[in-house]
Amino acid sequence: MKNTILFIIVMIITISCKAQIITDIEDPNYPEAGKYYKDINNILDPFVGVYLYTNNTTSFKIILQKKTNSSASNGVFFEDLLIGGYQYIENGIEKVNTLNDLNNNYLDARKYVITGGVIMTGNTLGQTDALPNEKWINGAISDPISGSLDDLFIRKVAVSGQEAIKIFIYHSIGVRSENDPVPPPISYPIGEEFTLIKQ
Amino acid sequence: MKHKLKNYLKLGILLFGISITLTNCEKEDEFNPEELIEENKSNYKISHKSYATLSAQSKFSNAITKLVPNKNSLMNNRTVMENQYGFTIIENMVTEIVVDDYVSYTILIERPEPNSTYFENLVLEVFENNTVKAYIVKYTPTEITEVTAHNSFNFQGNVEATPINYDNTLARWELECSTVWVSYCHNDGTGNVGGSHVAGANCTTANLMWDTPVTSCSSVWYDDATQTQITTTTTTSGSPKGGSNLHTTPLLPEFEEVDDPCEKLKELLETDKQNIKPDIQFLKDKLTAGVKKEWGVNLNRTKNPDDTHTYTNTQVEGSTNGLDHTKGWNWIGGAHIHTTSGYSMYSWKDIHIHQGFNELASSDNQSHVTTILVCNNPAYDTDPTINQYNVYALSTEDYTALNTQINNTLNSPLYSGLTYKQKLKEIHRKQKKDLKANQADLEKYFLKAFRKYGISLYKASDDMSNWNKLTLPPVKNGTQVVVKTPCN
Repeated sequence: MKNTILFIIVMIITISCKAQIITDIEDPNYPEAGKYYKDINNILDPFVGVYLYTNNTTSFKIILQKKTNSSASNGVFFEDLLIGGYQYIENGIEKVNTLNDLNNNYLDARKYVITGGVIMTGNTLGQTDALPNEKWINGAISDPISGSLDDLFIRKVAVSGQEAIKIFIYHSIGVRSENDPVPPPISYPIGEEFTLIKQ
Repeated sequence: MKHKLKNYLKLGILLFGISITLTNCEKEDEFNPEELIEENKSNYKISHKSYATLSAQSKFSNAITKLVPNKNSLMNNRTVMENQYGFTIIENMVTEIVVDDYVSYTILIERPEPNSTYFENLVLEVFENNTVKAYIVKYTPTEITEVTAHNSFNFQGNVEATPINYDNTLARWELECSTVWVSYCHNDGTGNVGGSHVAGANCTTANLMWDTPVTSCSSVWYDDATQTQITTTTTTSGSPKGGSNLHTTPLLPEFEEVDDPCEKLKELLETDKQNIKPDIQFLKDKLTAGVKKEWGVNLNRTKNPDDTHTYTNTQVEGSTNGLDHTKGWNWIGGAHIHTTSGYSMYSWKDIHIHQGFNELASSDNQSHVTTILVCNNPAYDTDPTINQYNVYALSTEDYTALNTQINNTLNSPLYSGLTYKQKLKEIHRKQKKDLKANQADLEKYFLKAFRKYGISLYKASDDMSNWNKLTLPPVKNGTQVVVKTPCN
């Protein structure tokens, strides 16, 4: 009797545990249900930090964090993801500030305003000065004011021995109905490179 | 004995219901748009949106979910309501009418065996307190006249509104009267006044719009046990007779005509038509200059009163000011570049934009809709003797398939719990991974990845004198290569 109960308990636990296939974050077959896209080689770790660009009264601050085992769509799949928030001040006027977004503890890390998803290697997508084996992030940034959604390139660089990131925001052309009002301007600079020093 | 009593009771209720209907609805009358009741339209906005776009908006998705609880999770399957009432929702263009806090959505529906004497629309009403009402509005035209200058039509005939019961909790008779306010205008969007026609998105001038009411009363038996509904409907036009006020405009079924995409694409190159060659050169020059932002050209094709067309191309910079592509009645699409920071192929977002061009283009323009991409030729890096830039064009062969695939992707469980924008971001991320993995042959990747989207891919010849259709025939001897077929 005791053995039967034990057998039933073991079976229930076995059945209730969903099988999770651990795969590398660079797995091109993405996203697939039941997988955990894990940062096996810790590629994301060097990008974590607080970074700041300043030029007189203009500044760009980005905070990057690594979220592990993020549950996408309530557990359809899992992943390690670089997430972030940012603040952009232009000529002394704060254009946008999403740093508080990092205080949200989203189970699904894809909801953050900065997400870094695709790991790139070397000279591609116009990053001509990237070293052949350099790993960089082809991520995304969203602007809550204009609603714009753009690519965010993040590369790890060194400036006079200081850790830094070089960023580039690539805005792809969108579409608007002729009767819709013109949306507010995009809050952050697009099509420009910025170097942000690690604080 | 008990069963007999129940039948008598039902018969009694039926007779009572019919008598109420006959008392309240005095005569059956033909709808005539010239019987005008004008009202102030300054708070009235009418627009055409795709089912997919609206599905991403909470007001519409909440309304459709209340009406059809399993619609969101089973996008491609028939809903309980569709089965019960025997129709299928056409997930195509939806007419949205906003009057203050009131919104109505008019959706085309079809029956398994279409009847050419009438057409039907499903109309959802969402009120200030988010309550939802739904009707099937049946139009039996005696005359439909095309008003070409305004890209619309004039309708005369009968209008009937049947309320839809989607919450069968109690067996009961209900007399439900509703006044269908069909919106008309004689404005072509530029302020010009012409013949009256069914209002569309171009009708923006308040004092050129009016509503014509038709009161439709239905005596409806809702049977809890058998889920059946018996409806008798009578219609009267002229002054409203009370009941709810349903704001709508008729959506006609689309009559598809087969067009040769090659012919339409060639028109883009003709100097007396869209004449895009100088604009393509403008975009190539931007790439040569090494710009870091995307630039584009919007293509406008407006029908004149004499059935000729006026072609206007507008160059735009994808800048912080939101000067993006424009979609609408008179817009047939656009061209844009992908710089070195983007891949030399269409993104999923581009396909979604192409869908948007289709959804809002007039029927006269729909077969002309195209999305052109000017990008670097990856092979040029190793062979500088070939063309430095590729010019692609998309053409729609099956808009229903395009809509379905866009909806399927947006409603994939992989993106559940995300907002529309977050979904776009994640779909784009997935595609960036795909593009990265398929950089060696992006044309082949595109034809494989979007084979079910009802779109075809064309590539301009090096001298921009012709187009080539790109296809991917079945695998032979283990190799699969893209085939170029020139347009004749």
